[in-house]
Amino acid sequence: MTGNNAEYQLNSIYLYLTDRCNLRCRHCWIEPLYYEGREDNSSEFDLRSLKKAIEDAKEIGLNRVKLTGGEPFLRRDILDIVAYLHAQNITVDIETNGTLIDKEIVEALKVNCVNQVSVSLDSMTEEQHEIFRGVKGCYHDAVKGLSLLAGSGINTQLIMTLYKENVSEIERLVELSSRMGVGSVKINPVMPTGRGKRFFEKEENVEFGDLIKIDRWIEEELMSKYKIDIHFDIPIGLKSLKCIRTRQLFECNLFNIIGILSDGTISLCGIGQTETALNMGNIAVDDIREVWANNPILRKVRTDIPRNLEGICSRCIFKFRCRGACRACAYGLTGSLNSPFFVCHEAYEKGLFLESRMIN
Amino acid sequence: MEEYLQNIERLSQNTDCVFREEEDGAFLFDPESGNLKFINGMGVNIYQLCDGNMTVGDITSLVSENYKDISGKKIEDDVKIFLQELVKMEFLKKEEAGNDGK
Repeated sequence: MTGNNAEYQLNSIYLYLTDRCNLRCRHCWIEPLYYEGREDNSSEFDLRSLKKAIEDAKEIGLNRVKLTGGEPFLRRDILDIVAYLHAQNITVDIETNGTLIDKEIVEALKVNCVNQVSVSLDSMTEEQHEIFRGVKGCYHDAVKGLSLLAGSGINTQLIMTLYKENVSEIERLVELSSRMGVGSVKINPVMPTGRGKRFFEKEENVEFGDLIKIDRWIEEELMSKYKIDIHFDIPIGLKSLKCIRTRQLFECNLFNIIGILSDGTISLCGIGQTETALNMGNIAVDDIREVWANNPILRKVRTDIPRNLEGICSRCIFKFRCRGACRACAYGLTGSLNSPFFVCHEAYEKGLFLESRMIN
Repeated sequence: MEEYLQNIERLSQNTDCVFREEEDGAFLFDPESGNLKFINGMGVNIYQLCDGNMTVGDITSLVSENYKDISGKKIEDDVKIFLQELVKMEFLKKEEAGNDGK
């Protein structure tokens, strides 16, 4: 790989529809503004700019868009955007807290063949979920949203953010998902970026050794017990051999993705919300094809990853596949896109990274 | 078109690649190209026979001795496909003709 633009297609856009959210989640890396209303926000990109960016991006490979936020359903024209993307033959995925989902929205998502809707739920205990999400009443709204989606036949995913206190909720949420007909469960350990930093300062994050134990428990017991796809988001270098050999793992397609923030800013992904040095232009004034071809940040990523990864990531036999896990998180923690991913770094420091997966 | 391995050919391990045993198999990894492959226990045995001395024919014969209930032709085909894949990924190198591997 030389970093030459012609080698890379822009297959996927993470579209941050709004910087507002009706919840105050304790871990959120985007740190959106708390906002209850659904009025449009003048600082959010307009549909005309978005359409231009999508049509241009299709010329360089775009076939998938993930709608996220803030809470994407706070944006009044979300269903227009979904319909437009469907008309453009773009696969649409949505990440939501689920609290604003109603029957009419579900019907519109079905009509427009949305590929997957992921709903955040972190506990089966109302109080625990609401303390984590920061707003009273959000538990029942989220469960209702999840139920409406799963019941409609839309491919639905439950996303659980994991920290020390809700480890015991994993099986309960998997059982709920299995019972509801949810397609899969994704478990994301809390990250030390944005508001998530405080979890690490207070040592509320799950210990690194325990992350590996939980991964094995999910693979060896939970998956066979509940017959539902469970994706536990730790890097491939820490996964079990069986998992590596037999399962499709979630990996960031770093070389084929770009983020568009709610004000139209083009960035590596949502990290641009807090790390403005990673911003590369704005869809209101810049041609996304030109940014994709020539932006120095993207060129550096294409040149440096994985060859110039540092620390344990430079020594890992999976580095060409994993590409250092989440580069946005690495940048957020260290200011360098090449620094080792913190989970693998900590595992290595504690002697938990297998020798068989390292080169000298 | 891929070149089919001949019985008289000798293969040796590419020492620029790393071999890492794990549980019931091993990873082969080329730090330069990024090529990565997991091979199972039988694959490990076959890979370790590629010492530059044994021929492909020698290796298939040895494997056949352990699987008498499977036809020799089937084993020869499977072993050659496996070895060809490792050659293609540059985990194994063909010894030059005339080099007796000693």
